[in-house]
Amino acid sequence: MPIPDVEILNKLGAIMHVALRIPEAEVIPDARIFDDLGAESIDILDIRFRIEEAFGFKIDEGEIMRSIDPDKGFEELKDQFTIGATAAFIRQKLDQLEQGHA
Amino acid sequence: MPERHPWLRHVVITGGTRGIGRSIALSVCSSGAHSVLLNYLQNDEAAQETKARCEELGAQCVLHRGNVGSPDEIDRLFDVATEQLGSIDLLVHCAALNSFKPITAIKPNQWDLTVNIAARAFLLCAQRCAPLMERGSIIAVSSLGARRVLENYGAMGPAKAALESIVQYLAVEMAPRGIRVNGITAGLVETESLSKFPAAEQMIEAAKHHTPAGRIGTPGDIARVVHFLAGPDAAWIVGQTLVADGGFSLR
Repeated sequence: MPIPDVEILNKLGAIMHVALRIPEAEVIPDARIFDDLGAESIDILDIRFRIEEAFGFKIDEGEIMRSIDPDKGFEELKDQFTIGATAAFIRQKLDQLEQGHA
Repeated sequence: MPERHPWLRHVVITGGTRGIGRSIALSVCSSGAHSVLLNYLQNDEAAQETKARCEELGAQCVLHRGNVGSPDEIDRLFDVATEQLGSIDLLVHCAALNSFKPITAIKPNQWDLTVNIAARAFLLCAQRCAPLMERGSIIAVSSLGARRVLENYGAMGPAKAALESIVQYLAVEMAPRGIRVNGITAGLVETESLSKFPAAEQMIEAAKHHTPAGRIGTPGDIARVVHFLAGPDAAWIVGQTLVADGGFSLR
């Protein structure tokens, strides 16, 4: 049974709350992880490890950013690195796992 | 065929595919290790390259990708060790992750990440490793930030201080079982992670100027100290953290 999208967002909310000490209510799909939620580069690693544990798959270095646009660099993608984009990445990984590709 | 040292047959290294860990891996393989299990956090390409080098040197090399800040991941690492190596002669803990910030700016999750990887992971690895050791050596790679205040080393300095203390406590409890636990306090070492320090170039130049030996360390400098500490010439060294810094800390 695939994990519903709302559950992905709820889990992401809990992860951001613990990692960044922000209220879960602020963790909305449009929230930019750096500028709106205040993450620093080491926090991205922390968040990545928490996502790996919560959802049961490994994430490569820079993989979430590449899922937004593989041809653009970090600076160009910083504003597009949102909760929604991260949730979409998790959805994609879970679907691949379900199909046995991940 | 390299000379085989019985104290280096089966080796586990956390943070073992880049920088100091990589150099230690290649050093033990050059000395005839049968098998090395190298844990790493990320960068599969670097891991595969190190694995290939270890295999060229005649050792079996097993890679384990995982964050040793997580106790579950440490369990998985030592499940692999049990399965693939059977026994362990040497464990070296190199894994570290720094946030490169002053201590007054460190956030709780950043503290946890740094301390868990640098210090707690060493404790948990040693606990899991000991039952797989008949005799052997456990070595922690520390840094001068454990004893001196370094700029932007806010979480890592205290984490390394905890690491050096854990070395002493483990050494006392493990020595009766024939396991020697020691550490190395490394001065500035030329690795990829050095470039992540703010104003890295100025820092390196200042360190060279300040170091009586006139240069900063190389990963090989530290690997040679590991080799010494793991071997029979260091049999009477227990629970010590040796400073290897070219004399930097003398002035």
